[in-house]
Amino acid sequence: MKNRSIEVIRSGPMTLIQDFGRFGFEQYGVSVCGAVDQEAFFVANRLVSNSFKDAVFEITFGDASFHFHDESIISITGADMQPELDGINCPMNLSFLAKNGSVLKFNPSVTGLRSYLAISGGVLSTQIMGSRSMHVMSGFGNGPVKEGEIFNIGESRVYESGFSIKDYSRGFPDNPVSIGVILGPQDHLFTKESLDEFFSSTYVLTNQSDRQGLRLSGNKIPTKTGNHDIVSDPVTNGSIQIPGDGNPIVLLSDRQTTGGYPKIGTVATVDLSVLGQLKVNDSIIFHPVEPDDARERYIKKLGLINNSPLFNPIQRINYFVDGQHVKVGTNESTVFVDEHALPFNVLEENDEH
Amino acid sequence: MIDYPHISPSGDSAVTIVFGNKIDDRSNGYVFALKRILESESSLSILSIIPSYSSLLVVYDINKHGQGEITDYIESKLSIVYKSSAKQVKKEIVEIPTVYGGEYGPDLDYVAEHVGLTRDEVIKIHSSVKYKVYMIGFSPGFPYLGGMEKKISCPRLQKPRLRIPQGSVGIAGDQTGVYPSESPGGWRLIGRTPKKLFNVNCEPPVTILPGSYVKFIPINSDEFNSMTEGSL
Repeated sequence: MKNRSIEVIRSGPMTLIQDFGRFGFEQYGVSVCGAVDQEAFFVANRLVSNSFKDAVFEITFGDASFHFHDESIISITGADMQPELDGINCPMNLSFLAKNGSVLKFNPSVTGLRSYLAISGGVLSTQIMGSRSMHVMSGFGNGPVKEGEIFNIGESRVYESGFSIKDYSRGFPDNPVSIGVILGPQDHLFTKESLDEFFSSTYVLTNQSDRQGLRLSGNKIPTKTGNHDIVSDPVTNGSIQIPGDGNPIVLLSDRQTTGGYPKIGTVATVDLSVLGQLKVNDSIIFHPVEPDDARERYIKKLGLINNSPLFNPIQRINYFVDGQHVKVGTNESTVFVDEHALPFNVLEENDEH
Repeated sequence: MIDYPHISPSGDSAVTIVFGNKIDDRSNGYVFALKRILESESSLSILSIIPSYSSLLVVYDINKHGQGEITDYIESKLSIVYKSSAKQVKKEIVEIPTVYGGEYGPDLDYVAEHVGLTRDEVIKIHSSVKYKVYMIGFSPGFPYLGGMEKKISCPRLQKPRLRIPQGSVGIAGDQTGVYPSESPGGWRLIGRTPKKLFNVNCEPPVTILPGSYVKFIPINSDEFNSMTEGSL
């Protein structure tokens, strides 16, 4: 049987294949990787009936395009890159159909940093240690994706499109964004004043930030002794290191497995996703949270994403254009046509009547 | 000051258990004893266990467990940890065949001069010790080895090299180690091994396991070449 596939026409500044991550190999020095904005990753896969193990494209900054070699049901979540399918604006957080030969274009990002493109059946790139997540530094997956590369796609798991998750919406919060932090494991190395300073300051994202970690700049946080070296110990997703210059580093998906800087705290899992959408000069305010409260928020959010029913939010309106009957759908910001592509001016004229 | 063992949250889905704040055999032994118990006895949903010099990070499934449950379990096992690590498990020793000096170890002469010994004396001291693999970190398969003789310790390069060949054996301060893959780095290079230390197609992907021991075995360049061919 012929393999289903998708071709990368433009890869933009950085496009990667990512899944949930490579777990269980950190003890061998292998980074976890995985989608930085996990929420957007989960939603994108859910919309096209994929599992959380399926791989998607993570498009950073935008300016990428893809050519579908087969009819595919797809979804786009995360940053708003004003995606266009064959020149027509496409919806976000909603599954839709890309035809054989369709071209999907991501423009430079308007809000947020990373968009996720899920295709029903998942991207079938090579698995390394149980994961398809590319890690540029280790050479895993030969990433980032390059112009002209063709990737196989799994068998579609769904035959209908036009679905979104009931009661789910993703808004990008105002600047600065408020991020919950659980203290530890080395919070005891800091004075009460340092901790207060950390939780009352506004930190700005510097251009030294990437998938490995966010380097922040703002009020410096010294340790009690002035020594910022610890015996190297393990780090995790969202670990907040305070190196010698006193400026926090928040570790993300491509983090190393161990580190020698004291960690004042760890970002609450539920707040990690939004960090993956921050751009240079965006700002953050941290606030302390308890592990159980943070967990409760995460479970509630994940429960909604996983269990809330899929529904079709599109209001169908019947039109006659040039004597031909067509069905047109709208959902708040997007207007698109079910069966026939129509020029937009025709739709607008009809809407006004 | 804090008391050890110190169990701390590392977020809402992981805990760190700290057995001390020094590099020593004893706390590292506790780390691996607790790791063995968590891997073999517990029915908890654990995603990852990362051992290091003197602490262990346990990442658990946030959907299944609250932090209290994990912390209670670990606390209940601490007395066994302290007992079991006393009777150490069998010392597995991995041999690392190494060509010292020349193009394989361009800094050997510098190290010898720096410590006031001959090249052969440095090689003999470096290859006579069984090194404990305290942890793996920095890059895939990179072992942090303990036990190097201070007699041959040497500071890092002022300016790191941009490209260090795979298998390079180096010294940095009181530490020695092997680069499993080509990478930048600032360690003084005294030799190179043909042995592949990291292979994504193997399970586990590393040749040297954390908690085991390694010993460097001096070889010549002919042996290096035949071993390199043999591994292809």
